[in-house]
Amino acid sequence: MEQEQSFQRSTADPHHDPGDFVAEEKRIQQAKPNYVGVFVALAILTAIEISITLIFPSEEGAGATIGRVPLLLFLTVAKALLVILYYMHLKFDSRLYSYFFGAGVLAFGLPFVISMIFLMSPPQLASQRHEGGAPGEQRPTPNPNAGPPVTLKLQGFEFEFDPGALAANSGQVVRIELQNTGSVEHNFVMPSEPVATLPEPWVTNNGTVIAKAPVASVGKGGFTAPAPGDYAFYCNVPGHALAGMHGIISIK
Amino acid sequence: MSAVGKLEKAGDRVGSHMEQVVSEAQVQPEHAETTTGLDHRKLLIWVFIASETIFFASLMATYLVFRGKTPPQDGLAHLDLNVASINTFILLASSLTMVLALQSIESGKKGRLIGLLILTALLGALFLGGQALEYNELITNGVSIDTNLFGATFFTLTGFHGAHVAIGILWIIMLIIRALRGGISQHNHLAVELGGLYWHFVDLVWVVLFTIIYLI
Amino acid sequence: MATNVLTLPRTSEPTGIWSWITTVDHKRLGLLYLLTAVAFFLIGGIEALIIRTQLALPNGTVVDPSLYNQLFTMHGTTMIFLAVMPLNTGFGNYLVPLMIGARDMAFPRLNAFGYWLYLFAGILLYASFIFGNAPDAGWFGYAPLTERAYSPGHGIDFWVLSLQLLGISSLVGSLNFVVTILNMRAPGMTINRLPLFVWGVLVTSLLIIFAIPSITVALILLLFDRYFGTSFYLASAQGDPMLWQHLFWFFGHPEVYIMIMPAFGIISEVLATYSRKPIFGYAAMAFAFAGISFVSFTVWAHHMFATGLSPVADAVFAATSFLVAVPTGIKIFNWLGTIWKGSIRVTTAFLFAAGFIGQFTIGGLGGVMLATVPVDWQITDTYFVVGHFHYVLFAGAVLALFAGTYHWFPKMTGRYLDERLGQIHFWLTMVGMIMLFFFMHYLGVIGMPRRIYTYAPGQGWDIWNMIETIGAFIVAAGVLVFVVNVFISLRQPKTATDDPWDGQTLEWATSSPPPVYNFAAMIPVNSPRPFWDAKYGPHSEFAENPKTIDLSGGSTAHVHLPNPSIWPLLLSLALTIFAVGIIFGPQTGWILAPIGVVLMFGSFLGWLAQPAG
Repeated sequence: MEQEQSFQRSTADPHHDPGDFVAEEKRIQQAKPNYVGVFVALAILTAIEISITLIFPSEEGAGATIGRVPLLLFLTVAKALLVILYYMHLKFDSRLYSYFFGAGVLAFGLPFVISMIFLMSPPQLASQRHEGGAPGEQRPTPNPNAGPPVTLKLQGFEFEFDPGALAANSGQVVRIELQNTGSVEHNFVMPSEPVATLPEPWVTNNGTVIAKAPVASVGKGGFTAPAPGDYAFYCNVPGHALAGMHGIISIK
Repeated sequence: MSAVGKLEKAGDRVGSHMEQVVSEAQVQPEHAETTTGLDHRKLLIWVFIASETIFFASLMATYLVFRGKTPPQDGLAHLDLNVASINTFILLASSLTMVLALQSIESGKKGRLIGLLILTALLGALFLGGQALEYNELITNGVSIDTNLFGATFFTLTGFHGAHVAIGILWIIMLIIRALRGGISQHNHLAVELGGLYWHFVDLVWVVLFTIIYLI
Repeated sequence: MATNVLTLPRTSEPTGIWSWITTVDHKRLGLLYLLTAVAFFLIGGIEALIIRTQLALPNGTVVDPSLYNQLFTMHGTTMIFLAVMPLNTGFGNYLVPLMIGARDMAFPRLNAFGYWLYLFAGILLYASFIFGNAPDAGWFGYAPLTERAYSPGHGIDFWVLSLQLLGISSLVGSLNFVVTILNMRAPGMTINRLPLFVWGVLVTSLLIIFAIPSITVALILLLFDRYFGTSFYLASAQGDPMLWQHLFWFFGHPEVYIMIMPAFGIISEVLATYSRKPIFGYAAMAFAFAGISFVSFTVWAHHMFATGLSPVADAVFAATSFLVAVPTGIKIFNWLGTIWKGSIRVTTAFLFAAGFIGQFTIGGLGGVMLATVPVDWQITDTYFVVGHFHYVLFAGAVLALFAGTYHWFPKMTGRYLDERLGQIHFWLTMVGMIMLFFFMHYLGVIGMPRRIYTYAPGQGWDIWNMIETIGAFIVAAGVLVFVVNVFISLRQPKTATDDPWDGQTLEWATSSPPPVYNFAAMIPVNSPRPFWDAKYGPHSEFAENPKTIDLSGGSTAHVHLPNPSIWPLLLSLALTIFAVGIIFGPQTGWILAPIGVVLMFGSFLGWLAQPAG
C-alpha cells in the first residue's frame, strides 16, 4: 500500500523526478522509514524461528503437524523482504533495481535450488537421509568398557596395505591414520558386515569411506568398532582392491 | 490488420511499457547524466548483487542436496545454536547501524556517520569471531573440511559467506578512511550507499543460511 | 575544430606500445579483444586440424591417445572461451558505444581489466603445455575424471584456474555492457529503438551475469576436491558426480546462447543493411532475444538425459528444450522476411549472413532431435552431437562473426577487405564446412562415438572420416585466404568512406575509423535506424533522394575522456599470480597465493587513488 502511494506520488508530481539521484535520496528521506522498528521486527521474527526449532527439534511428531519447515521458510522470506525493502531501500528506489534483483532470486536462483533438490535427492531416499545411513543399518554405539580409543596406523601404496591385519575391541572408538606412500590416491573403506557374510565387499563397493589419503598425505578418520568378527577393509579407488589392496580387521 | 501487424503492435506496447520502467520519467537530455537517471555505480552494484544471488544459490543447493548424508553425530550435532543465534543478532544489528550511518550522512552528520561505520565494522568483526569459535568447536570434535560431506559443504558455504563479510569490513574501513579525509559529504555519499547495499546483501544471505543450516 | 581535437584529454597516448597497454578506449580494447581472439581461433584451428589428420584414416598414428585427449580438450576450451566469446566481446566493445551514441563504456578501466584478465587467462591455459600436461578431460570436464585420483597432473588445475579468471573477465565485461547500454544511450534512443546487435549484447550480458556464478561454484568445489580432500564429486565418499553436471550445465547451456546471441545481432544488422530494408518484425526479434535467454536457463538437464534422471524430469526438460525452437524460429522467419523483396547487394558479408541462415537452421533442427529423449539415448556421446554443436557454433557463430568482420572492417580500419578474396573465402568455408560437419551426423547415427582417438577399419566409417578431414583442410584454406586478405588490406591506403554500405545505425554517422571521442555531433534518434532516417527521411522504405548530413557542427570542447591507466593490467596480473600460486600451491608452500593477494590489494588501491578522469 505504502509502495503504491509512493509510486503515485512520484508520477503525479511533475516536479518530482524519480530518476534523479538527489530527488531519489529525498524521497527516501521523506518516507522516513523506521529503521529501528525494522530491526525490532527482524529480531522478533528471529526469536520466533529459534523458539520453533527449540520446541520442535525435528521434523517428526508435533513439528510435522504444524508444518515446521514451511513455517520457518515463510519467516525467513519475511525477514529477507524486510532487509531488501527497507535496509536496501528497494521499496523507495527505481523499479529497475527490483527487476534485476528479482530476476536473480525469483527467476533463476530459487528455481535452481528447488529443482536441484528434486533432481538430486529423489523422495525415496528421504528415510535414508533421516537415519543417516542405509535403511535398517545399525550404528554401533561406543562401549566404555571396551578400552580407551585406539589409533591404528597403516600405510597404503600400490596395491597393498601395510600392515594388512588390524585388531580392535567391539565398541572401542578406533581412529585410522592412513599414510599414502604411493603415487595415486588411496582410501580406507570398511563394510558394515563381517567377512563371513561379505568376503569381497569391494565387488559391490559396499561400505563407508573411513579415511582417504591423497598422494603423500595422511588420511585420518574414525569409527566405533562394530560387533565382534573379522571385517575386510579395502581401497575403493577402482581396480585397487582387485589388485590386492585389502586387509582384515579383527574385532574382539 | 494482419496477424503479424497485430503482433508487432502488441510487441511495441510491451516495449513501451518496458521503456517506461527503464526510465520512469523522461529526463531532460541536457541535465541528465545518464539515460535512466540512475548512477552507473549503483546500477553496477545491483546487477552484481543479482549475480551474487546465483553464486550463493548454487552453494546452498550443494549444501541442501548433501544435507542428511552425514550422520548428525559426525557433524551437525557439534553446531551450537546459541552461538549462531547470537551471531545472527550481531549481523542484523550491524545492518541497522549501517543503514543509520547512511541516514546520518544524508542529514549531514558526518561525525555520527564515522561512529556508526566503526560500529558496523566492529559488529562484523564480532560476527567473524563467533564464526571462528564455531569452526574451532567443529575442528576439535574432528569435523574439518575433508572429514565428511557435512564438513565440506558447511565450511564451504559459511566460509564463502565469511569471506564476503571480511570484504565488507575492508570496504567499510575504506569508507571510514575516505570520510575522515573529507571525501564524503551530505551531497556526495553514494559510496556509503553502495557499501551499505553490499553489506545488507551479505546480511540477507546470512538470514537464509541461518535457516537452512541451523533451523530446518 | 582541429585545435579542439588536439587539446582533448586523451583516452590513451596517440601511439606506441605504452599507449596500447594503458588504453581504456573501448575501440582499442575492442580491437585488442578481436586480435587476441583471432590468434586463439587460429591456435584452436590448428588443434582441430591435428585431430582431423589423426582421424583421417583408421588406426591413425599421428598422435598418441594422451596427446589426443589434450588436443580435443584444448580445442573445445579454446574455441569456446578464448575465441568465440571474446570475438563477441570484441565486436560488442567496439560497436556498442558507437551504436548507442556514447563516448565510451560506462567503466572504461573495468573494460581494460576484463581484456587483460582474458589475455592472461588464455596464456595461463596454454602454459599448461609447457609443464607437459595440458588439461585432458574434455571441455566440460566431467567429475570424477577431473578428480586428483584420476587426473593427478597439473593439467586440470590450469584448466580450473584459467576458467575462473575467464569467468571474472566475462562477468566484469558483462556488468559494464549492461550499465552502458541502459545508462548511456543517445537522447531518443529508447529500449525499443536499440539496434538488434545491441539487444543481442545486452541479453548475452545478462545471461553471463546469471550463468557464470554457477560454474564458478562448480569449479570451486572441484578445486576443493583436488586440493583440500573434500569429496563433493566422489561417489566413493558419498559425494555425487551428478552435482558437477548440474552446476556445469546450468552454466553450460546458457553459454551456448552466450556464444550465439551476439551472432544473431550481427546477422540482423548485416541482412537489414544489404537488403536496404528495416529489419522485419523488430519487436518480435527483440522479444525472441529475451525469450531465448529466459528459456535457456530451464533446459540444462537435456545434456544429462543419459544419466538416469527421473522420467518426469526427462519429460519436463525435453518440453522446455523444444520451447527454444519457438523464438529461434521467429528469428529465422524474420530474417527471411527482411531479405524478402529487399534490394539485395550480394557482398561477402551478405553471403556469410545468408549462409548462416540455412546452415544454422540445420544445426537447430539437430538440436530439436537431440531434445527428444529416446533419440538422445541412442545418439548421445556420438558424432551426431559433435556434428550438431559444430553446426550451431561454426555454421552459426563463426559464419556470423565473419559476416560482421567484412561488414565492420572498413569502419574499424578505414580500409576495405577485398571482395574477390572474400568470396573465395566464403565458398571455401561453405563447401569445406558442409563436408566437415554434415557427415558427422550420419557417422553418429551409425555408431561412431565421440572422443575416440582412432578406430578400426571396416565399420563403414572410413570414407566419411576422410571426407571430413578433407573438408577441414578446405575450411583451413578459407581461413588462410581471410588472413591474407586482412594483411593485404592493412597495407593499402585508407580509402573507406564513412558510410560504405549505406548503413542504418549510428556507428556509420562518424568517420572511419571513428575519432577517439566517437561523435562530435549527434543526429536525432527516432527509430531503430536513426542514420537511415537522417539520410532518407523518417520511416522511408526506400533509399531515395538521400540528404547530405552535416556532422561537422558539433564541438569537441566539452568532451571529457577518461585517463589512461596501468592499474587494470596490474590488477589482472596480480590475479593471475594468485591463480598460479594456487596451481603450484602444494609444491611452493602456498607462497605465491598471498603474494598475489597483496599485489591485488595494492593495485586495487592504486586504481582507487587514480582519478577516473
